[in-house]
Amino acid sequence: MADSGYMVSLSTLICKEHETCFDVQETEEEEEEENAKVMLCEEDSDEYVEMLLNRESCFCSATPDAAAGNSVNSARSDAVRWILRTKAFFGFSMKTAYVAVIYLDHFFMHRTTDSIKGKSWAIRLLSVACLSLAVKMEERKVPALSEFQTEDYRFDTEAIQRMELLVLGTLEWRMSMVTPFSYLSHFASKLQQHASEGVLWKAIKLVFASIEVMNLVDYRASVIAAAAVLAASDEGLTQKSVKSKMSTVSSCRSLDTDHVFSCYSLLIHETQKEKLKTSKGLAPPDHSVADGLSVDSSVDTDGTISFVVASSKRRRLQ
Amino acid sequence: MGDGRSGGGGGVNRPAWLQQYDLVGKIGEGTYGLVFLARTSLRKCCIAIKKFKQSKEGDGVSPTAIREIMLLRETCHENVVKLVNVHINHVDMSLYLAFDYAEYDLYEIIRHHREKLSHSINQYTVKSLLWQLLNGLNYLHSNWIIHRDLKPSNILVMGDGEEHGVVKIADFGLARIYQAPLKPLYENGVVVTIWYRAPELLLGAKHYTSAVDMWAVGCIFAELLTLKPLFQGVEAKATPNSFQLDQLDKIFKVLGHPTPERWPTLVNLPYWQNDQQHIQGHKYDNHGLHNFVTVPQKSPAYDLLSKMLEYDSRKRITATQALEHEYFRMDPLPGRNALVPSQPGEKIVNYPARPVDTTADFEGTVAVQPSQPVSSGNAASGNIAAASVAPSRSMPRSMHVVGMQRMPNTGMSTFNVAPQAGIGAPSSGNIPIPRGAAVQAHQQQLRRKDPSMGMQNPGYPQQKRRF
Repeated sequence: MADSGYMVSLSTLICKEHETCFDVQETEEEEEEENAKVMLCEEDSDEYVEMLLNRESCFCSATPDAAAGNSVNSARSDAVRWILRTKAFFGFSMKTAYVAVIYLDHFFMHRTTDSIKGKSWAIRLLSVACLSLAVKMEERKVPALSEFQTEDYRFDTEAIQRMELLVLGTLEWRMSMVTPFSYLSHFASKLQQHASEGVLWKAIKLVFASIEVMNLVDYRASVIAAAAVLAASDEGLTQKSVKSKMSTVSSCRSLDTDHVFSCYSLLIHETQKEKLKTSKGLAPPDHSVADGLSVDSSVDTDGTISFVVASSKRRRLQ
Repeated sequence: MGDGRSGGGGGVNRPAWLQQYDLVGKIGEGTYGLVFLARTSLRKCCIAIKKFKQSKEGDGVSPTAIREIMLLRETCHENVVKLVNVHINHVDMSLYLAFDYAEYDLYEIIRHHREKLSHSINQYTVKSLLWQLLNGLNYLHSNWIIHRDLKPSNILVMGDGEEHGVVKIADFGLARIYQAPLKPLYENGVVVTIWYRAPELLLGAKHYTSAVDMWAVGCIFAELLTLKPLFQGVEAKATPNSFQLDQLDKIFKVLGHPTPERWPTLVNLPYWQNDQQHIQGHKYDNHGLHNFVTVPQKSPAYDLLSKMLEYDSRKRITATQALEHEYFRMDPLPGRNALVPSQPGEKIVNYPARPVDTTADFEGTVAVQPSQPVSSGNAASGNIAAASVAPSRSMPRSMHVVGMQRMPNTGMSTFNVAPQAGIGAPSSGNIPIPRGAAVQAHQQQLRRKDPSMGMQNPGYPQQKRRF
């Protein structure tokens, strides 16, 4: 038995962050669309939606919160990108990736992340644990932990399992998450006169286009769903028009229209940014994020401990 | 700070969370792992501790454990087993779930009547057990949870105490939150013990609903009445999802030949469709359920039972509908203490205490001495006493945690700190379970809709119909 197994092995620290090697977008898109249909093929009866809204409202009472620092944001977007890449690699469903990001955001909400700053291996380990937990909840085929290897670090399975336990404990084992996708077809049929599959698919794409910057505990799943359906059909809505559209749908009345509009604006903003990027040709590599993480990546083993201890002591009050 | 770190010098070498329990012994074993009976050192309450089997090396925390704990965290109902705590043994990362201890289960109650008493279970008890089972199930189903493995041994009944005779649905290892009624739920491995498995599942349905639980309730109801399993098929074990011909055969022999008229979706079910076993060709006589259960064909009990054992899952009675059935509105009315009839003069049956293997330690390792079950025939009350008065054995009190010390502590404690302090209350390695805000709010929701549901005390029918 290897004694060194207790520690996260930090053997390989090759930080190669090419997004380019994952440029298989076109064929992927079709698969995704298929995939999304399965995800949307959900019950949309009023009773079901009511149950979801109810469960959601008890889960988090989050309001948009800009308190989180930039360092967390860059660490977070790195984690989100890794989750999305790995999802594509294994062919997991979009919902699985989304759920993994919710776990990540809930984890960040409960624990301060100052200590993670710069420790990209810790973020990576957290990403692996969140994704593997989401896969266990959502997928039928679950890969062995050792298959979740990342390009830059090698974690032994025990380290991943410990991180899984830390995430489970931090989330108090409440792993059943309501996602916006459960609401999409319901909201689309209510908010739209002619809800087509195209609108739903567009709404899903909007959500994923913003997932890197949108903290999923800032908005309720239902708020994101409503905003995405609105943004998918009309890019020029005002706060007032959002409000009036929302007031026509009974199941939407419990939603905070300010939140919906704020989320709507964010979704529109992000797609426009995306459009700008693609119109200029190749997407530029995101230097700010990559740099911010690679600076401190030569972490020593003490770093492990200090992160872990510090974060557990400073649980943020809700 | 009393975190659960093991080691760290003299005294008892075991994690803090373990020190709050006195192990009495092992009470169960299954594919999931082991179940122990313990008493809390402080309040002396009885707790059942379920230890999950270690997941396969390299798989991390087992999906079954995650699902089960997640579901239990979302539920709060008098007729659903209560998860008191989740403990993690950080040395080997094993998981322990602490539940309120229930002394009896339907399997043992039925067996006791069949083998020891040879008389049927009194009507009041049957009705109260069924009523409470349906209340728990109604709660689960309205929270979009399907149990999927209901069988007598998973239906527990509380022993002496404030909750004496209260039914608790247990074992959520196979349960799922169904995102949608039609989401495929095929899984590798077994789903529902075949005797209680609904015919649509036996015929290969990939999409199924909460109606599968109601079929199981029907089977359990019949078993409570007759003391023997209604459809005792022999399981085919060739492959994990083998076609269970014998089980279907047993069902069709009792309930008659399935026809597309009775059961329109039958023709779409895979095993019926491809008919490789020539089940379509076999014509079953319409014997009728009344030949197999000992209740009058015109009685409400018979009517309710046959509605639970409806072939077509869409026509099968739901838990909500069943609770409104006439059967529950006539004498004897169901009560909260299913084991002690409210009517004076009724005989009270003393059920045996659960056998406890006092030689086992928390690892499930049995000591050298042969096991000596402490079951006694008549420990109706003070059942725990029966266990603790275990014949002169010095073992039960001190817990043996040998196995847990397998790994050296060096290097361990460092990484160990995190998960431990992180779980639940900052001061302990446990998750104190705040009874979920989610659930409470949901209950308010339910209350609005149906006053008899979701509350701590399921509404027992009023006596208004009495003469």
